[in-house]
Amino acid sequence: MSAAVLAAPSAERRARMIALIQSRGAIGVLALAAIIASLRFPYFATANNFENIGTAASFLGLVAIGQTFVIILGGFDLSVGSLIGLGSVLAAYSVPYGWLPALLVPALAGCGIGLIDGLLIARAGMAPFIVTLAALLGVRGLALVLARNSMVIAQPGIFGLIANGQILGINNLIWILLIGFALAALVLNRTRFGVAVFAIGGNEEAARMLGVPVIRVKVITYMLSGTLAGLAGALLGAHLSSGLATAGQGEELKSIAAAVIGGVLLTGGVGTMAGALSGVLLLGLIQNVIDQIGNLSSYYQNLASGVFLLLAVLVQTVLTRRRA
Amino acid sequence: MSAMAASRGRLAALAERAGHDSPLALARAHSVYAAFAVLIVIDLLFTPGFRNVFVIRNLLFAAAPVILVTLGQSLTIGTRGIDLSVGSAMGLAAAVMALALAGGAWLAVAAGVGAGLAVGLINGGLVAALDINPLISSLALLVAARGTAEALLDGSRVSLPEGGLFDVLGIGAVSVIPIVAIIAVIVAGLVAVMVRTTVFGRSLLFIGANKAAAILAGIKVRRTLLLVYAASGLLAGLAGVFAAARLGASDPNYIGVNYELDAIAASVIGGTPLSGGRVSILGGVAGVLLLQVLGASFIMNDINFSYAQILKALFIVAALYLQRAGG
Repeated sequence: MSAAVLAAPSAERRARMIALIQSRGAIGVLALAAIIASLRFPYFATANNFENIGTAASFLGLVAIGQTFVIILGGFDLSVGSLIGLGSVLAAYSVPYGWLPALLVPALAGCGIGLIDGLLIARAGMAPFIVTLAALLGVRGLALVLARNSMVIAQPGIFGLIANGQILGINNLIWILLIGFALAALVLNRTRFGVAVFAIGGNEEAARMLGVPVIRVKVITYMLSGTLAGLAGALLGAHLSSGLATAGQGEELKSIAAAVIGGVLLTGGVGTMAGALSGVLLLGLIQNVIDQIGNLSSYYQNLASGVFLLLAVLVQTVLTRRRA
Repeated sequence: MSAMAASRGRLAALAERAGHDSPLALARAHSVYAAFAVLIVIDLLFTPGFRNVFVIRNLLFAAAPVILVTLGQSLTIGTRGIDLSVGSAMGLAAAVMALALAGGAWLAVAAGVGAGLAVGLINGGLVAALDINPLISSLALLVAARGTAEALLDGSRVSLPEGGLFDVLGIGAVSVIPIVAIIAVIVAGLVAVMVRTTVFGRSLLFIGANKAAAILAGIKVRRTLLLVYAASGLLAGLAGVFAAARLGASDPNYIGVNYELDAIAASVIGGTPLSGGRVSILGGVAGVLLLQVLGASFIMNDINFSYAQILKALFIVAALYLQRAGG
């Protein structure tokens, strides 16, 4: 009997330990990878290189915020990559009317697509996977039609400064990435909306019975994801000073990968913004390191990312089973 | 005697009811054929040059590999899974085939198909043995297999030798019908028969309808799932070989890109619901042809191809809505 009493807390401690690895493991791996990379490559740990990684990760980062909300809700958003393309094209068209429309029009367009997705998923009860897959195809088509299959050249001005300027010596895009994630973590953990997202992802039926406005929360979550993707597209347009209808292809999958690597469970109801940010940065770090290994073909980047994602999922699966 | 007659009457009534589904269910089951027929009639009437045999032949050449990956996709969706890796498996198959050219065309083709099978086996192993969500295992393979294909050929295009087997697959045709299309249709027929009549086919649908019940009923769930994903990879390998032969080259950046999306779209439009438990092979083939003809119609009418993509999206949503309404 005393053995059983003693065993109970240790089992509980083990479960807590595993939960900690699941939610914070990616941060540890990121730190470890960064240390190894800085020992191995002299150029890696320079301010210049960190800026490169951060800037390149910012577009994926914004999208990953929305994707994380959607996955915790128990869904997917495959439309975000195409929305980056649409966003950059719309930004290029709107920039003659000022920098504000150039940011707002893409964000609103993304919001609108998210609204349609959300209504079809939450109200009509269609599978998120296929609804957002249709949006992926349709939005890309729309972007190509609007850009007439070619590049739209934007006049940057203040708009370009938003994406390429600096505040306190740090690139604006990195500020946007960090502030975006901080705000998202606040919303996810400290607001009623965040609690509702977790509740629906954990057990939708129970959430409904507890009085959570399931349909409204779902629609808002998809609108949020769409808005962020449109905004990411606008920033990409500002960064490249052009609207590229084909921009953002594959980002939807990368953002899901980043979230999963960061410990966001595809079954819904579990995940952290810090984890998702670690996933985004890890993917960026892999790309950066492979770029620095001069004789290694850049094609190995996809291979490495894919294997890395698999390993992350394997570890997650094993840990989840241990915990149960 | 009268009891037997009564039961026979009841059976007849049941059979009659089964034959007379609600109009909505009928629309759901046959909408893809109706849409295809309408599109063909419109094209025959209004699209200049649509009757040209070269156009039809080209369409069928393009459709053959999509049909193959759609077959595999429908099977995985039937088990309530998904296979995002098929496009990259095509690319990898073409790349491996290019590397194995020294051993002769037949060996190269076999190596390519084998590469596709290998992707399918890894995917199936992850799904069946380790219980990993097929969406994420096949997503990882989508990224990794494409990377491997690019790394193997260093990102460059490798031309295939002219003549022999590659000409048979790339340009060979019996009058209007390409040989690859004939092969694809035969494979589709085999898959359809397999789903309807074999224990394996019944098992995969059972798993899709209710996995827990399938386990309790003694169905070999793991083995069935492994075989389903292996089949999807094998078919993708063959599709990669077909696509490369048509192109006359193995291009790791081009072959199979976005085919997984077309395959999923064709399956869903063809009446294979994502909720699993039901597969429509004939519908899937019709879905592929519908999407191919749709794209061609826009190009031939000099309308921006991107509009076809928007219309494709609307088709998917409409098909899905019909499925939902039918239960």
